[in-house]
Amino acid sequence: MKKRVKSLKELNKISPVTDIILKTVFAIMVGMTCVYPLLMIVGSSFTQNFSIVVDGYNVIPRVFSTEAYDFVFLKSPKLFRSYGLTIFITTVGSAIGVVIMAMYAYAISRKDLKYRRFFSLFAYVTFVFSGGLVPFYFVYSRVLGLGNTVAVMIIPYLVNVWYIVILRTFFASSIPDEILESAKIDGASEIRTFVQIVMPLALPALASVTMFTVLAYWNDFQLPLYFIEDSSKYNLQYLLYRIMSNMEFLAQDTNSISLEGPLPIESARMAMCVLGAGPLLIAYPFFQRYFVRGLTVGAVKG
Amino acid sequence: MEKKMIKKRKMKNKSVPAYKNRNFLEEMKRNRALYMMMIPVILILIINNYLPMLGLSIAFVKYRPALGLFNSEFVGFENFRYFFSTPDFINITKNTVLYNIVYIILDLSVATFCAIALHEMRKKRAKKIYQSFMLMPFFLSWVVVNYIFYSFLSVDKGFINTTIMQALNLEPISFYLEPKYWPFILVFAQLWRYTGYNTILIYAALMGIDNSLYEAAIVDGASKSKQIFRITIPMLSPVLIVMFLMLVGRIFYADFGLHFQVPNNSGALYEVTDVLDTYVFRSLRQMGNIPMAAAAGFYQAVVGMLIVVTANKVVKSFDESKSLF
Repeated sequence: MKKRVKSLKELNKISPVTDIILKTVFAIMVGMTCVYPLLMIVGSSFTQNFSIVVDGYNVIPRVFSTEAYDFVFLKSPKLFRSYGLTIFITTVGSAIGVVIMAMYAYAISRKDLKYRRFFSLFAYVTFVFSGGLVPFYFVYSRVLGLGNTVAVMIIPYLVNVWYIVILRTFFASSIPDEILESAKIDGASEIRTFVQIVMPLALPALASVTMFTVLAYWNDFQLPLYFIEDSSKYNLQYLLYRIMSNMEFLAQDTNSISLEGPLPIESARMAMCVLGAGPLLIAYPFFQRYFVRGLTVGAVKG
Repeated sequence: MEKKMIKKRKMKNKSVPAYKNRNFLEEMKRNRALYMMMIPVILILIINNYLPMLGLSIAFVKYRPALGLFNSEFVGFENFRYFFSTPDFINITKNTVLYNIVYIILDLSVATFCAIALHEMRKKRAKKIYQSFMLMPFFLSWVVVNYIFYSFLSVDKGFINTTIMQALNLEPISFYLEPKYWPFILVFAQLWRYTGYNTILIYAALMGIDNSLYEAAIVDGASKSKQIFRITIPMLSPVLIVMFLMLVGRIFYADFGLHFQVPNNSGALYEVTDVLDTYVFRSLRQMGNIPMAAAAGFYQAVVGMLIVVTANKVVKSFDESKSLF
């Protein structure tokens, strides 16, 4: 008898048939657009180069081969240098960026700061007024003289005002004033309160902002595109970009002589792509949670 | 009456924070640590944002690198006259605005559809999995996206030409040389990369809708579709309107990565793929035409700013808390 009384919520669910139709449609769309292309890149990177030249890119290698990875790992020291550089830029940039953004956000979240309105506006105004690329380029390359340095791939992305908004909202809404007050009464300095009380309490928001910042640094190709000439300072994505056009050039050159060039150009291209996107995609399931939370926090400005 | 006044005054006194009575020096002394904490970001904002604003004046000089900004000859609006007289000016403005309009409309409607569909699905696990996969393209850099599109579109090795076109016995298409396909490819690429992201935003808003509304509707015998059209969508509309206006505010700024990487910066496609951001970049770094780049950049900065300010005003009238300032 009890079993037959369904809750309202249960009653309101869509019928199993609709549910299956919806799920199938989603599975096909997501599979075709999000899963298949990635599999194709991975599949191609394990295909013999000659097979790609003849049959084109495919998910399942017609002729399996690891020659692309052999080539990339054994014959291109450039890749390792770029990898190292990207890891360095990402780590240093995210660490410094998140800390200084948190400090600023914390200061403007404090209600007893007299000029907090002014400093909030000082940051928010940059949403509206921007100089655009040309003056930005000249400030970094001419005024600061940072063209062709590693620093120019770090400094521009240290601060993103959106993340300051996210952090400020979090500080203002989730850290009660009483905690700060009691710390003050106990004689903790402003800095100590920030480091030992505020930062640990704000870990979820800090994690989200860190994710976004890491993503921005890892995936960046624009700063090297603007500023870097010296090929020893190419970061990973920019190296990938250069290879896209350079390998094309190489391929045209060798095609005229024989189809079997000495370099596995097509498969190596895809292997590079796998190595460029791989680390983030592997880490993705673990930090997706923070990412989603950060997105939804950011949607509400307090 | 008098009592009320006193009470009111008392409350007013209480609500006046202590800092109101501090002068500048006292405040600096008292909150010294907090102000010190702001210094790094202030410096970066000055370098990244405030100095370039001053640097916009480069659009009014005949810039010579050897002389620097201040010693270069002042030419007034000549750079602009030059820029506005080229056919590029109309083309890139049109491309930037039209692409953005299409992106905004499709992004919001597809994401709303996906969010509602995911919301109605029965298994929580399934929702999570779909969401994860849909968000994945957002994590790929535009360079990697370029590789992925290349592996489909390449004329002699791409999946479409070697597998699909061959199976249908059709001639291969050289996508990277034919402008007519690119509006569709760009729109698809944009939608592909951002749908997961937008879906999550809208999904979060869906979760916030009061459940008792649906319960009341069921009791009254409303069908699922009735519920979606009469409750879900109306309840979502404030969020959608704000998202819409914020995107409209950015209508003069294009996604550089999308328009630069996905068409592989192919010269044959500029007519349909070129937008303000890529045009400014090419003028500055590839053609070395600094006055042109500066004029186009100034044009984008000023018109862009006016649109952002207007959109923000409209947002404010809908929802005060969502406006930027």
